[in-house]
Amino acid sequence: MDILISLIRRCKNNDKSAFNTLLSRYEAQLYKICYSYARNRETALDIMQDVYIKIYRSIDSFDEERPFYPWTKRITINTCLNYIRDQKKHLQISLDDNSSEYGPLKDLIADATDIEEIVCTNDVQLNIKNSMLRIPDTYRMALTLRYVEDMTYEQIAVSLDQSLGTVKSNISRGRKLLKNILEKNNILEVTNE
Amino acid sequence: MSKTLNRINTEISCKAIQELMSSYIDGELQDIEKEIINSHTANCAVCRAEFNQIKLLDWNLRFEDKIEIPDELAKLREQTIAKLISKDVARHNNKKRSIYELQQRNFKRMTSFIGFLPGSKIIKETSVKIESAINQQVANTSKTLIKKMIGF
Repeated sequence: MDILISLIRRCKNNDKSAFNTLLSRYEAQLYKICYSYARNRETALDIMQDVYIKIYRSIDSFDEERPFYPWTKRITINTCLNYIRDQKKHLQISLDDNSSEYGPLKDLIADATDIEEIVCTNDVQLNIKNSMLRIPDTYRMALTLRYVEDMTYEQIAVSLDQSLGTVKSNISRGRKLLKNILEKNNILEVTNE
Repeated sequence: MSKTLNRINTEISCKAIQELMSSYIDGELQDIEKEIINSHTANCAVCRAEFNQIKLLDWNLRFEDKIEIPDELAKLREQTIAKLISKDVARHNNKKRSIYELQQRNFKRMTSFIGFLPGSKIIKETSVKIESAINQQVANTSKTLIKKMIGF
């Protein structure tokens, strides 16, 4: 019997060591997806914990005829998207809220250009990391799957449950947005020749 | 061929060309589409600059710093799985006891109507008397047996 299927069946019987063996095979790659998407180590670890819980809870419904890694990857992708979305909901407060002794929040927030001047350095990698966090979640996830998993557009479309056209558009727009952000910081300067 | 491409180029806008650049980099275009883009960018400085920037961005994204896997990831996994399994075991054990309790409760409810039947009070009192008599008899028999065993 295939070792992987044997492990999965033991997991379905709540075998702790089988779970640990099975997940340890794939967690590095799943972590890379989380980190590449969240761009933050602690957030990526938080997301991974949710991923472990979701895999544990849904293992009974996993069809052994199908490949295991794409199934775990799908769970990871959905967890990333939902995690960031939920974080944004919790962090939302009104800019016009005048309840603070310091007045409305909008008067306290530094101008965006000030933040860019403080944060941006000549380090291209750091710039890319910061810039990735500023593009919409759907573009970011499409780019993550393209670069971290080296997936084709069709594979990305299946993973994200989107049409091929949407994936092409998201990758193209995501790159364009990134390019524009980096251009403002004088990264990606090219000559016209 | 080049005359055809030139004709196509004059009809395709820069916007359309730029929208295809991402697909070009990802190897998702047909050869003819790539030729159209190459031909256009050879003659359009704006699109050429845009294409070069996209290529440079792609290069930077491909060769980003390697992602380090934190050491605590394995420990996080072990702790999470251990907690989930022990929660499940505890829930399973609780379920067993509560099924027994549920059954007892159900039997009580099923037979509670007996208390409202005519004559139920007499039956209850009689059964208490019988129970008491049986217990007394058992106690007396036990004393007699013990006396015989000990030899009194």
